[in-house]
Amino acid sequence: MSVIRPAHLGMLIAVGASAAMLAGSPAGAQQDPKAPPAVENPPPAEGPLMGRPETPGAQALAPLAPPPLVTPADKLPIDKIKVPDGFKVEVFASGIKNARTLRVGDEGTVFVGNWQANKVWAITEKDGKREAKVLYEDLDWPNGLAFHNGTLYIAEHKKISKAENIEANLDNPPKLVTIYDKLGNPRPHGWRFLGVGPDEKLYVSNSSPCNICMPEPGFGEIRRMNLDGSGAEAIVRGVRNTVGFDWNPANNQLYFTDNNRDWLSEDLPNGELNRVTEPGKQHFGFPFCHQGDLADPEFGWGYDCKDFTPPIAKLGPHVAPLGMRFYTSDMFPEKYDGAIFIARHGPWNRTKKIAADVVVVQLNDEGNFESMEPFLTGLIENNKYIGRPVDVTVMHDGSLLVSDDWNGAVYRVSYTK
Amino acid sequence: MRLALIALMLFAGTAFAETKHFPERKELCLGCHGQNGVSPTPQTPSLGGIPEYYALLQLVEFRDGNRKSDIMREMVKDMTDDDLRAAATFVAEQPRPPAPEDPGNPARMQRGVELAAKARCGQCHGKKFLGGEQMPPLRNQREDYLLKALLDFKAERRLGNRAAMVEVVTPLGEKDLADLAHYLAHIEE
Repeated sequence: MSVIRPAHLGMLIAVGASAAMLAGSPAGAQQDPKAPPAVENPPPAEGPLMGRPETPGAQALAPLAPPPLVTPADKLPIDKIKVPDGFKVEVFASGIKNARTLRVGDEGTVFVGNWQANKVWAITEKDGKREAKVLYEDLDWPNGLAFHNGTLYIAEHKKISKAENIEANLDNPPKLVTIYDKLGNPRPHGWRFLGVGPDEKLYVSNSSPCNICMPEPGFGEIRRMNLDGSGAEAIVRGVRNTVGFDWNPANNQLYFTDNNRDWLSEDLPNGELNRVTEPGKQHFGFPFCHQGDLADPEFGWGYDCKDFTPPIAKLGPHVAPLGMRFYTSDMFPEKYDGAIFIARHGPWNRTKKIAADVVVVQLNDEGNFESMEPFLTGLIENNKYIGRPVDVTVMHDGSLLVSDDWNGAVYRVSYTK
Repeated sequence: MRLALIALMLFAGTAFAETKHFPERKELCLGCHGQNGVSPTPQTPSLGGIPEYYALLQLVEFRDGNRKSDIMREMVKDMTDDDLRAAATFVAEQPRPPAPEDPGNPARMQRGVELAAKARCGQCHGKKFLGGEQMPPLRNQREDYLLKALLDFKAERRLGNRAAMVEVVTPLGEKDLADLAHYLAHIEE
């Protein structure tokens, strides 16, 4: 009845090898660095774990499950969050399970989408009192949100729908009307990101449904379509999993973040910031080439990284860059004008945890990368996340909202001279 | 009645901060899920051996409506966070179900061994299918409940975390799932 699986064989070999090394060490020689402890019952190297090397250090890693309950307002890590001098961070909303995508309506309503909690929330302020309520529930991974000309667009796993004149009907939201239903199934990486471009068209992600694979046609794309869902076309190809994009107000070009593959190494590959200069014509590398200069050890054979569009910036190994937003308001100091705020969720696929922050990326006059520096930090303690930023958006007053799906909260960052 | 309403309103501010309903509903839980961790009720899981984290996760998902069950939703919809914590602790204290006296159909048991190996159930649920900190046990669970859960995942009526179970069961047919459920329910000590 006992079935020997390759995972166990690999562990036996690894243990045998280190024992042999110790036996051969001369007395008094330097000790080898500390090895990770063996994992008693490694989970399967499938789904998000596909491609995992069968070694104890790798077997110890898996996607991180947040606490089952949202963090109460008085227990949020607000005092631990650090922002630059002159900035202040406060709790904007709490109790919003799996709070992820943020969008601001014309009248100031803050819409919050989520991945696994299947709801869309609306946060409003009346007479100085802030209220968060569920607008739609029983949706299917409603991670994608966009607001345009009074209409809220929601991208679920398989479809996009809309609710017109939403801010006038928050107490009695209209039934969602489906405008597009050709988004891919299967599930992996099937939570969407949505936006409306300066060309008045809807953009939606249809990411590659795997850690590393040759995606079927139609996957690994950002698609563009008319606001009624017609005329869909691939505008970006060779994407692994994008959960953030925005348009540079200086050149109207689309910039997007991309989460790179797992299990290649602790320190590679980097998350990407990409720039679309020729819509519909560029391939950004997946699954052949990662971060512009690293051929995939399997799918990269026979390809040249030079044939793909490289990212304009490497954002750190496995950091999971998600939501991003160009800052065009005037509350923050001048240096932030036209800069990009990017939420880095923080890696699960790395032993030493990093990021879980918001960084600010400065572009040069040509619209390319100039610098990256931390903006909102402090959410890692004892190598564990105490919060994980997902999306950023700018309110009408110029303050920055940051969502945290670990705690189910939204923070507001403001600046006073 | 009016007093109760006022009390309710006063509670509203701290609604999630204390145990309110669980103590009085504990017997109701056992009414369906059974004494000593073993469920006598069709389509209703035995709770014995389920770890605290996993129990809490499911209770929260029932309350939030992300995991569909009319009866469970009714039981937990007005529970506070502390109610759910207390309920999860209670679940984790239940002893795990013993192996049934019926050893199962030999041919189906053999199919089940092969299917469990192919689907690599044991890699997450434990070599002996006893679960883990964030993972439910499968061993000696009710056969009809195991099959219901597997079919719910296959039909995407239930997604679970990252839809990992949906991926696992997608390549398996309904007969496969029935044999798998039969095997897991009947593993001997």
